[in-house]
Amino acid sequence: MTRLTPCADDRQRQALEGFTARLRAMHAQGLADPGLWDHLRARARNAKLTYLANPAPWLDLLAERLEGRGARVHFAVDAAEARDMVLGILQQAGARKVVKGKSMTCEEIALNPALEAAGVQVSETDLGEFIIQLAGEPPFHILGPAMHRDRGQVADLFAEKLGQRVPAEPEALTKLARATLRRRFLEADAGISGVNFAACREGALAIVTNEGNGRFVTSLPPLHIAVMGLEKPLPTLADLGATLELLTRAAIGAPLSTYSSWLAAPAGLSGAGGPRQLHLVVVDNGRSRILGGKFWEILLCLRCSSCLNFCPVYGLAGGHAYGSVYPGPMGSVLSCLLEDLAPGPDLAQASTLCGLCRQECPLGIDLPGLLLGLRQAGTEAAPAANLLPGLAAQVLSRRGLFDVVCRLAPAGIKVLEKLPEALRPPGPWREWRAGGRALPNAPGHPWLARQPREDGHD
Amino acid sequence: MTRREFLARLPQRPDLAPGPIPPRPGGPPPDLAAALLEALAAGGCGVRRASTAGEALDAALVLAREAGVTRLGHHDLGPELTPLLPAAAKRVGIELVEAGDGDEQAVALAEPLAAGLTRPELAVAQLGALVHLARPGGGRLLSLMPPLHLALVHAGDILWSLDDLAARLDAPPDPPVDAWPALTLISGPSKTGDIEAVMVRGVHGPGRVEVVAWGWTAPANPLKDQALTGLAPRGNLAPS
Repeated sequence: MTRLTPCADDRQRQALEGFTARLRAMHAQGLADPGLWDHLRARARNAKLTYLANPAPWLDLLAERLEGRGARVHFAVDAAEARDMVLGILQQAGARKVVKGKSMTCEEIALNPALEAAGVQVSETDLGEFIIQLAGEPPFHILGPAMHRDRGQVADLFAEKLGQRVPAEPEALTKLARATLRRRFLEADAGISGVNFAACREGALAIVTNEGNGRFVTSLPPLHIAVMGLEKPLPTLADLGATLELLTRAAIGAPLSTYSSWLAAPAGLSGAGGPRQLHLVVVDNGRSRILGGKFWEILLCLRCSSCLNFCPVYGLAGGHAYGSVYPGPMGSVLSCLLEDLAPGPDLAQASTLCGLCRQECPLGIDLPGLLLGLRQAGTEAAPAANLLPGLAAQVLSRRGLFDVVCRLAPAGIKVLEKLPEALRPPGPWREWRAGGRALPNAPGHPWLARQPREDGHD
Repeated sequence: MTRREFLARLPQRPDLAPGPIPPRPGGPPPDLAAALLEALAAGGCGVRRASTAGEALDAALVLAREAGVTRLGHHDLGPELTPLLPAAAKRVGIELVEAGDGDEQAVALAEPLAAGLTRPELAVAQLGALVHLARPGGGRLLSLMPPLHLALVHAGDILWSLDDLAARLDAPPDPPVDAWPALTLISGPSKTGDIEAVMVRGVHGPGRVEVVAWGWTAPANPLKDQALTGLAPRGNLAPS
C-alpha cells in the first residue's frame, strides 16, 4: 500500500513551491489568448478521440509507413516484453554504450535497471535526469526531475560522481554536464528516446526537448530506439502540430518547444547523416485494458504536468511521496490503472477533489471524476472496507438497535481502551489509537434519552 | 508479440466522438518575414534583416567575427549564397570548414567549431521556428553542435503555420520514401531550468542563435506551394 505523506524537508517544499509557482505563471501565459487555447484544445482532443475510437488501423498504418522506409516496429504487451525487446535490439547491434532522452514510458517499464543488469552503460542526457541518475533517485516532477536538489547538492554530487569540483552555480554545473555528456553522445553506440506524438497517416514520430539532448540522441548514434506508449499516436501530421503547440503552451507557456524532431525514416539510410537503424517499440502495459474500461479518459494525457503544478496535494507531498513513476493527479489515476489496483486504492485518496486539475488540464480530463471512480472501484474490490460503514448504517437505521448500542457504548469503550495493544482490533481505529489518542468516555445517559420525545411522551 | 496479435487485442470505442472546433483567431500577416523575426526574437534569438544574399552573408560573418570565431562551419547553402561565401569569409579573416549532413567526417569536423552557418530549408513565422530537413549536405548537425548558430533564412522559404508545414510535407495518399526522412524545428537557443529553475542557455545545443532573413525584394519561392516530394538532395531550394 502506498501512503501519501507530506514532504518533510522544508527546503524541498520551498523549492517545490517556487518551481510550481513558476510553471503556473508560464501556463497562464500559454493560455493568455482564450480563442487560441479553445481552438488548440478542441483540435488536440478531437485528434486523440479519433485515434482512440479505433486505434488498431491507425497503429497499423503508422507501422506500415515507418517499415516502408526502413524502420522496424515492435509491439510489447507489457513492461517485461518491452525491456526484452530493447535489450534484444541493443545486443543484436552489439551496442554497449547508450545515451538516453527523458522518457516517462521508459521509467514506467523500468528500462534502465534492466539494461544496466545486462552490462549496457546507460547515460541519461536531460540535465535533470542526469542528476537524478547520478543520485540514484526517481524523478520528482515530470518537467523538473531534479528540482528538489539545490545547486550545492548538485555540485557535491558532480564532484563525487564525475570527479570534478566546479563552483556551485547553475551555469558552471550545466557547463560541466554539457562537456561530460557531449563525450558520451560522441561515443554512444545507440540512442534511446521516448515519443511525444506520432502521426499515423504520414508515418512520423515527434520528440520534443528544450535542451537539445533529444536531437543528439536521435541523430548522432548509428542506432535509435524510440519507446512509445500505445496511446501516443494521432491521425495526421496536422493533428501532431496542433497537439504539440497545445502541449508546449500548457507546459511552459511558449508557442513552441525549443526543439522538435520529426522522424519518418532512419535518416542515415538516405545519406542525410544520423542513425541507419530506427526501431519503434510500442508499449501496451495495461493501456488497451484502460481504453476498454470506464477510465479511458486518462489516455488523453499529454504529460504537460499542469495538474501537478496546480494540485494542492502534490504541492505539499512532492513527487517522491507518490511512490510511483507518475506523480500528481494524472499519476494517481494512471499508476492505479497501469498497476491494476495492485498497490491498493490509496493514491486515489490523495486528492481534495478541488477540481483545479480538471480546470487546468489542456485536454479537460475529468481527473476528480476519475479519482472518485477509482475510490469506488477500490471499495468494491475490498469488501472489508465496507464492513464498518455497513454496520453503522444498520445501527443508525433501527431506533431500537441504536438505543441498545448507546446503552452498551460506555462499557464497550472502557473495554476497548483497556485492551493491551496486541489485542486491539486491526483497522483504522488501531492506527488512530497508536497516535496517542483515546476515545472519550461515553456518558451513562445518552443525549437522546435525555430529550423529550417528539410525541410528547418520555 | 506480433503486430497482428497486438492489434487484435485493441478495443474499439465508437462512443468517443469528436466535437466541433472553434476557428483559430488571427491569420497570416502580409509580411511573413517580419512576423518570423519577431517570434524568433521572443524565443531568444538575435535577429536582423538583409536585402540581398551578399548582405545576409556579410551580416552573419561580421557577427561571427565579433564573437571571436576564427573557423566557421557551413554546409551547402544553395546557389545564391555558396558562390559568395569564400570571398565574404576572406574579407573578415574567417576560415571555412564544410561539414554538411551525411559527410563521414562531419561530426568530427563540427565538434571543435565555435560556430555553424546554416540555411534552413523552411521556417514557420507564426511560432518563430526554423526548419532543417534531413538531406545529404544539410545543416542539421551544424545547427546543433557548435555553441553559436548563425542561420540565413530566405523570405521565400517562410511559411505561416505548422498546418502549412504539415501540408507541405504531406503528399497523400502515399508519401514517398526519403522525401523527408527527418526534420528539426528550432525556435531558440538550447536551454534548461533543471537546477533551481535558473534558466541557463547552451546546455547541449547552441547557447546563441542569430538569424538573418534576406531576399525581401526577391519573388516568392515557386517551390513554396509545392509538396516536397520532388525535393532533390542539393540545390533545389533556390528561389527563381
